[in-house]
Amino acid sequence: MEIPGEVLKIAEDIRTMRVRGAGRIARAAAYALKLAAQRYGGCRDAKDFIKYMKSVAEILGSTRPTAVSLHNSLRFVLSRIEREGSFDQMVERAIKAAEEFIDSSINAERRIGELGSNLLEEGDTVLTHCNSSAALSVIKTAHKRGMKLRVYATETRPKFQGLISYQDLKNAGVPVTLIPDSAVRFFMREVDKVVVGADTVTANGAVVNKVGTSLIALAAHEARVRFYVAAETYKFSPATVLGELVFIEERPPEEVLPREVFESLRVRNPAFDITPPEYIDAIITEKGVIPPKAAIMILMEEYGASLREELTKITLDIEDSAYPAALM
Amino acid sequence: MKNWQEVLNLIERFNVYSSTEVTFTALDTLLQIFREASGLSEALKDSEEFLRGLFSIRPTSVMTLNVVSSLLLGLENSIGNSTSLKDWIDELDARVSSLTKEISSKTNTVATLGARRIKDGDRLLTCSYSRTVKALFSRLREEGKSVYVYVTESRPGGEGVALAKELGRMNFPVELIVDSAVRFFMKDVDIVVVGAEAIAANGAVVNKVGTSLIALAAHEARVRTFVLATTDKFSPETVFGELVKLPVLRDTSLLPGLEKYGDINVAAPLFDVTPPRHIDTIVTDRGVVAPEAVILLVKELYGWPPASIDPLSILRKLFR
Repeated sequence: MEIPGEVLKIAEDIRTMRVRGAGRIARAAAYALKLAAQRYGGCRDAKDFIKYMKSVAEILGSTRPTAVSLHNSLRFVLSRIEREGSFDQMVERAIKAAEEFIDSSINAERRIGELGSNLLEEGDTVLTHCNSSAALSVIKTAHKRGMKLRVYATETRPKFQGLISYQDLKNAGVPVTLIPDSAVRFFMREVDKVVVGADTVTANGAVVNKVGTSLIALAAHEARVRFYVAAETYKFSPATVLGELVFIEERPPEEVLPREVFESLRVRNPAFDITPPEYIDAIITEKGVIPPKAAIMILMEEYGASLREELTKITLDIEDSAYPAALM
Repeated sequence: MKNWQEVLNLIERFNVYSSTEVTFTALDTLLQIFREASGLSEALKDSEEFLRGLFSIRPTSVMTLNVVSSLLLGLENSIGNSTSLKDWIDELDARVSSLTKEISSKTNTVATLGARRIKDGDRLLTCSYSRTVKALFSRLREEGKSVYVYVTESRPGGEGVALAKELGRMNFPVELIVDSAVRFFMKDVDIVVVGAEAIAANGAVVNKVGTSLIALAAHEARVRTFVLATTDKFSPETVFGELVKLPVLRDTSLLPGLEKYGDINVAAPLFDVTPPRHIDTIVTDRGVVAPEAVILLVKELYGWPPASIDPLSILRKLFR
């Protein structure tokens, strides 16, 4: 079955990071699946169509194996095709599912802002880390509703993403102060709430986010300051329900120090760390504000069908292999 | 610009960071001021301006305060009545070199006691640039103990990079990490070792900002935190409830990488306070003590209740 050139082009753009950011990657992938369904030129047979869509999804998925949002977008669409029905119904469902994903993804950030701003109060001092558009949406929405807020933004070494947040908040008219990452505990006693974004939310409610997040959560916990994570449901990782660990990328040392400085020493530069659910008061999703340990509820709601299918497959694989027999 | 003004600039820009080094620099500078002065009153006047500048730049450096006070008290008692500049220079020279020796010897005692608590193969984490911590590593090297070291960048200032490089040159395997990555790596760490800028009567430790976060993360991971400090760093003033003043920079001068963004509203504290409950022991030249027992050492060193120290008022008495 031939895969349309435009679809391959999108895959390439994701691979080369011309398209980046969790939300944009996910939407590009959903759009590619929609295109693939519209341009399908093979046999008008439901089974063939499913096989074709799966191979398209496989190509798209291989571009960024660890990007949770991308895989969720593919899962979302595929899980809605794979039901009983005629060929025509299936094509229609694929297109509809892709459109639904794109719409809800675009609306998610706004919705998170609305829900999250309910958690802030007049006069609050808010601390944020790195640059999360979902977290900033919470702060800016509260500001737009007339709440007086003050924000501490961490500089977020090594790449200074905190500066983007700083600029964004400043442009929105929110009083904001940039602080070094090491000063988080120093200022925590002035902070009322911490709001950060997420790269990935795991099955047990742990949050993978920019390195330093877990340290901030710990300092907030110590000071009894509320800690909120703003995360779209497509950041929740179904793979972790199946026991998979989230891979934490270590980035090149050049981000931390110029080459001539670090020649004599090793630089370790992990991009993310993991904040345990115990330190998180709530995760703000577009579907609602949930306790972190209820992450599994979101995962089952959103990806239940495909998860059940994968579990069945794993069980069958085990039954096929010799080991269980030997164990029995 | 006078030499001593240049020295203040170096300290302000963190070119001289370690509080032990700040103290050595202060002693040397005072001697130099006297050597370069045309008369005793000029020497005393410049000394006063230098010390006033120093204590406003580094109000936290209790060691400098304590050592300079003891120097000035000694001068007052021995030579306070003399008007000969030469006599002053000779007396100052002798006292500065004996104080310097004394501090170095205390630092070595701390390093030796500290090294006893560290095993071959331990993984340590440290931050900033502490002369005492460096002495510990020299001692470990002498004892043939190899340890693995994580050093945080330690912004603002970033003087952790200099320490990491020096430890690398001493052939320790070193990894530099950003300040944010402390909790990420803490699970691999056996012991946190840090220096101190000042130690309060209740055992709280004032040190480079970020230290309290590291100690918190260590406490959470049940990793022990050792503070290495000579007894010169104990602050008798805090017995009277005096708070150690913590300077906060409002510009990007110590935040390299941000200068190019122009006018940013920053707040960069230089020091923070680590509560005694997150510190396992303080290794001093008078022994290894629990932070809560620091008060005993303060009593032993300064008497009870300790006398209040103000080097500038001692200096003013010297004018006459």
